[in-house]
Amino acid sequence: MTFAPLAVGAIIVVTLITMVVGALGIRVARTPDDFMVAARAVPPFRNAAAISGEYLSAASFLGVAGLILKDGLGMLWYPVGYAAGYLMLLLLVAAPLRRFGAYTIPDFAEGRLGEPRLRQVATVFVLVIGWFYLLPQLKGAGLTLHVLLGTPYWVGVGVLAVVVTSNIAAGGMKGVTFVQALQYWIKLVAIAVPAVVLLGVAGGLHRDELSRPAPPVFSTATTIKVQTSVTLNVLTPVSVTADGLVDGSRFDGPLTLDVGKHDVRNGAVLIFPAGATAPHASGLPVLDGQSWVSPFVNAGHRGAHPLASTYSLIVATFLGTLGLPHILVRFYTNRDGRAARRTTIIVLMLLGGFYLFPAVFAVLGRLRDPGLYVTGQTDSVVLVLPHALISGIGGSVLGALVAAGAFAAFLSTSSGLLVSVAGAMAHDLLRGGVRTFRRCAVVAGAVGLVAGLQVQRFDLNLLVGWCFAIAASTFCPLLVLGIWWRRLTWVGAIAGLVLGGGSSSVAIILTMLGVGQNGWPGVLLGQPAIWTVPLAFVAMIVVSRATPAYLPADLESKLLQLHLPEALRPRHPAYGEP
Amino acid sequence: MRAADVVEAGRHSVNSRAFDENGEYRDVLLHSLMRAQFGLTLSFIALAVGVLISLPLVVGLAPSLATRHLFGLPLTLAVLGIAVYPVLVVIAIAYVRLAERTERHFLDLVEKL
Repeated sequence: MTFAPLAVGAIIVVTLITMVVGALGIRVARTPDDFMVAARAVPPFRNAAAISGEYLSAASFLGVAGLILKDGLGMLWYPVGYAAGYLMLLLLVAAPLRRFGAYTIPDFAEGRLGEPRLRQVATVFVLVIGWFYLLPQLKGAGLTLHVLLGTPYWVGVGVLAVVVTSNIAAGGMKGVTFVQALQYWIKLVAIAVPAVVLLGVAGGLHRDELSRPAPPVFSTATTIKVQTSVTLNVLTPVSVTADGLVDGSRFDGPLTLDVGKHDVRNGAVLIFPAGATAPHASGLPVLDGQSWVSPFVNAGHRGAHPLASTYSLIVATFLGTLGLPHILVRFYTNRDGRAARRTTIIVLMLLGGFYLFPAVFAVLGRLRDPGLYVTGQTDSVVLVLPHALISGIGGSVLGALVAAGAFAAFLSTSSGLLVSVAGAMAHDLLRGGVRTFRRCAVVAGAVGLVAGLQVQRFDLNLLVGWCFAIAASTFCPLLVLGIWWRRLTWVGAIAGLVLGGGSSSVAIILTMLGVGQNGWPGVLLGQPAIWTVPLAFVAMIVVSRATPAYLPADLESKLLQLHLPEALRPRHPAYGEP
Repeated sequence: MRAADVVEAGRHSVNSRAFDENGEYRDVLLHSLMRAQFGLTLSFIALAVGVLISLPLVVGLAPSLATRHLFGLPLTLAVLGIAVYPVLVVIAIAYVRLAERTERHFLDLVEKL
């Protein structure tokens, strides 16, 4: 394809920036502390940019636009929830967690409740969440290189896994911290500039254009090259010009696709006339405008109970953020509790600024490039829309920009995740030093690589949403109750982690295996947070109440550490003072 | 938040015996601070959740609203795509102001002891 060289160049530049700055960090990263959390006291603005840089993943950069294009504006709940999660984090954990001075969630768990076995259980869920969250990043990389270069899916997965693993094993987070902040700005520019230009080129939005009562139509004659074989679900007969294998016969000329299913093999070229209704790849819901603009999750799916799905997603994303291990580590790098609060406000601003733009791609994709519904590759809308709407060098430059932004997203999020996972293995399970950390990084990267190859067929945001559901059902109750409820015991904490984490993980694995596609089972297994989060809270409370003998001995001093403003603290290492 | 506040609270260390190892009011003071902060957190969660979850509820009750337009954009896009983000930031700033005021009052109280 003509646009490949520029995009590949841009991806290489972003990757080199990451590796070079990571390599520069080697000279200063000498102790395990340096590897795990960069030197403390990062100023709030830079820390906020680093948190946002680490947080905005493949799901945000590519997935949000793709999901909205496919399932409608109700999917805006994903970015809204991703941002609102930081408000919950601010309200419930930001300042106390920093004041407590724990590096990681397992540190917090053992420090607060005084039981090494609780640390082990918490560590297991750090690994589960971290690995789960790596999958959409790897899928994003596989998809991006496939769309840009036509390489098989495993190439992108492999490239990302190798780059990130070697970078982490070499330099740790010391080098990455700086690059994370930079990568936020790369991602913002890479999505904002193309979005604004494309909106200008497309001539804005006409009133009622989105909510008209029919599925999308081609506004101009459109040529579609089918790269991956697809089954089309035709609801309105459409006359096309076909060149290739359709329904097992070779065509080279006019062809009418009647109502029903039609198999189109890869390599086929279909030319749709202006005004034709776009048939959808099977598996994609066919939405009229009214369903597409509705504010519900899964509005277009039959028997999906949209209100319940919407609220379940809200629970998962609002409460999941404050249980993400790789994000919480960053709060330790604030100077004090006040700085942690300021950092969180700035994160909200930075994320809000970013999330204005993915919807632009979804809206323009639906109106101006309905061919995406034909190929079914809705997750690639951000990557392909510049080329679809702007011909020649302009489209190539913008295309290269979004490709670079997408790679920045994969690199920064998977780096942060790998540091957390490797850190949890080395620090919490094996209690080793720098060399153990390096080895754990390689093992963690290899596990991620193998798992990443299996998830090609899942939407990016579905994978991320599941990860949030597990985080919300485990670390959210642990932190909230640990900070605000004096009667929490380690026995109760373990009961809640095991029940909440176990039930949400099982629900998600069943969904991945195809159990419960429709109706209530589909909602409760596919979006489990609505019942697994309350279950975890109730388990922690009930079991703690039943086991008051296991309260930590020095409970009051733990609570002082969490809640006492800095001005009242004795200058003592136990209070997290430098 | 004025810059002066940040500098002041960051540097100055309150001299009080209330939080020495066995200060007699220590636990009472701590519990009152925790209760005040948690009350603030709960009211802000109620506010944020109330604002955010009302849209699906309202449209669930009156489906025709979904096709209405606001500033030339479909309602869902205008609210969930744009308006919600500044609202989140305003709620966050208001919370931090009140949480820090609670802490200042607490410091004043402790200083008097």
